Amino acid sequence: MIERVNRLEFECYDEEEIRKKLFPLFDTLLLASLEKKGGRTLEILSRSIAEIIARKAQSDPEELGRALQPVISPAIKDEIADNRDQMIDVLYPILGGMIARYVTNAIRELLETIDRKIEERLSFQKIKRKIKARLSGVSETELLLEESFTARILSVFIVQRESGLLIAESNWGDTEIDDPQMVASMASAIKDFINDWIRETREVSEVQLVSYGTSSLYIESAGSVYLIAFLDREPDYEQRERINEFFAKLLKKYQTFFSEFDGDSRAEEIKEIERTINEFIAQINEHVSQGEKAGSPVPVRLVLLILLLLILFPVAYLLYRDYRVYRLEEEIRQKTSLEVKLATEGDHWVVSGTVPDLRHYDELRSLLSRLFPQGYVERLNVPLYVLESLHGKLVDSIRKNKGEVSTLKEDFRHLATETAMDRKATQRIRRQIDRLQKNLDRLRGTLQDYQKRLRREKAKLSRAEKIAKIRSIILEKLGKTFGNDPRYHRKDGSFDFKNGGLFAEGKADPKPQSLAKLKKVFEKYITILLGNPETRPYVRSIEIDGYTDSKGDKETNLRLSAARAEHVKSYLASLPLAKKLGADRILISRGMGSKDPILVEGHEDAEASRRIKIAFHLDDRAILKSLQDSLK
Amino acid sequence: MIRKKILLLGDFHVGKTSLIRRYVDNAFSDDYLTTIGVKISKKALKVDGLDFELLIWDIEGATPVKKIPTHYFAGAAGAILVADLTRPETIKGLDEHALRFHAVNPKSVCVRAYNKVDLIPEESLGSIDIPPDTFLTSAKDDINVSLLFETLVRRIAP
Repeated sequence: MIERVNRLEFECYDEEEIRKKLFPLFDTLLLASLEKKGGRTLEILSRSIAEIIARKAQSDPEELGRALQPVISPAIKDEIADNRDQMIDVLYPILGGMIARYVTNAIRELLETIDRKIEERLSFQKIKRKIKARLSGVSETELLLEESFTARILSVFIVQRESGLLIAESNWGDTEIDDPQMVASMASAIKDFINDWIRETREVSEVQLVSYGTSSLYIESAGSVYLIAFLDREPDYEQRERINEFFAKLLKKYQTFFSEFDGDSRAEEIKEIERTINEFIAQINEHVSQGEKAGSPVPVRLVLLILLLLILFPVAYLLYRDYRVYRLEEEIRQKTSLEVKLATEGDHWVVSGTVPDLRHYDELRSLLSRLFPQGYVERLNVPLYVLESLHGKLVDSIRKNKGEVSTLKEDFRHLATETAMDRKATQRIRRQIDRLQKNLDRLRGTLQDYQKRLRREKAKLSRAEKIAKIRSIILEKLGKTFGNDPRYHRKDGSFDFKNGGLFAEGKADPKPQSLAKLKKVFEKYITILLGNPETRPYVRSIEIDGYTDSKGDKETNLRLSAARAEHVKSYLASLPLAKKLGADRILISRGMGSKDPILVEGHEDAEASRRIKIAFHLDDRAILKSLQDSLK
Repeated sequence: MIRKKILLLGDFHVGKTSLIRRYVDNAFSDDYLTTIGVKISKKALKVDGLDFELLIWDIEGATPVKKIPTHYFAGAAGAILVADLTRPETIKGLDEHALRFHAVNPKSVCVRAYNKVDLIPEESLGSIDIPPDTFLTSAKDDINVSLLFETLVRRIAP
């Protein structure tokens, strides 16, 4: 090779010619070196290629891209086809980042567009939004986004917080929720479940928004109720605020009704509430349909009207005041023939002008005190010669009456001293009498109070004693009436109709002839229990237990005994006296089957076993409450 | 229409859900019982001329690993306490259920159901003490089930 290069130097000195001959030699040499595995050329080139590409990428990335693209694209394509899963694993983080960046850019563009719109549009709505943004600290762009994403309300429920009972519901258009009562209860249960779970796991207050598919449930709790709004998408901040505002108004108006709601759906308030909710839904949904109309003419007109009123009001006031001044000046001129000027200074009228003499001055003052009973400021001028003449007259008059005036003055002084002394003594005695009288009244009042309290306490104690002994009192009364009746149990006051042959074997209907006896006893029984206001409030129920004999299977006997009790209950409840005393509402029937059969000398008396037992039960809570009330 | 929330309480497997299934008009799926611990059913009935609608909350019974979810008790007008006659310990447990219920709803009322009477031998019936407002019931044979619910309604009626 060296020999050939030396030879070339001798053959030719033209640089271009040498290059032409030399380059193919280099190519051949490089190729041979690269083909020879383990050679240093490959190692050196590998090291430099990375650097060359890096430099090129920095200086002219586009050219490099264009150059590599035909090679890289098919290579990636083949690699994805051959090793799809591995490629996804590798590319996922990069693609995720790219998508995120893309979405961020898209949102930024959207926000910029909205910003431009804000700048371009000059409207009342814009001013409103600007103020709102400034006050709330939320950017105008975000507010506009919220405005454009408003959801439609499909239904609103008002649910009692504790019981989950639906108080009122209102739906939009044809929307209807199947079995709203069940939905409200179940929503309440799920809400309780989530809240309970949240409280156990973290310190978060309450669940407020539940999304399902594209729809949402917005829940707002307050006081004894909560509101559930079913929406066709997630409500934005403003919409939630509007719902909350509406809910607050509803709560304020119906707070008492909500807290006292006892499940009675006939209440008039419910219709009113549903009407109000309906109006609210219509208002919100109408707003959604119309969208935001920039520069709405109505508010602008309203603002203009207010501005006009603000300008006109002072003008009208000034005109009215001038007219009144003119009328008053005219009146003074007509009545006194004097020309005076009226003006106002703050709240006061000011009168100025000149009065020719004292007669006119008096006339004018009398007139002015009538016209301005609240007072006025006088700035009137009286000529000096008139005042001098008046002063002279007064001095003469004082000189003439000087002696008489001094005597009278002395008499008055004596009289005043004596009167003052007497008055002081009288006042002292009167004060003492008043004090004693007050003490006496107070003592009398205290005594009366003590007497009243004593009477009250005695009455309370007597009442409490009666209430506490109510069972004994009832048992005593029943004992007096039924004490000799073998069917009556003194211990618990129950009646066992076991000897009347009340039922035929296997029959649930009582025998008609035995019903007359039952009726007679029952009427006496309920008259004692319910005919007396002292005992009536404490009788909670009258239980009618049906029994069978031991024949037949257990299930049949249980069913038969329940039917017997029910038949007797219906008969007794239909009695006029039972209705009159309210016994029909507290009768309860139970089937006891063949429990506790009646045995005579070790053998069952089947007819006696087919029986009815009547027993009364007292309302322990009512007794306790009355006891507490009576001792208050 | 007067609507009331009532509860069914009792130990695990005493037959609460069966009593409800026997009685109600409409119910949510039993799955809710295992997921959130309560299942709600509905029953309309007329008592003393008044129309009632009961929202019946069937509350999951306690198990060794699960507590009774008492947060569901609030606002109930009444409760049916259910025991299994074949398991005497469930009858004893009713007082505890009543205490827990009254602690949340002091003014509400309870009635008791001694359930599964169909599984008790007839001769054993005599030895069972049946207190006031307690019914021998069988969801399987429909014994005293309606009476049980009607009595509770009568007790909670305004």
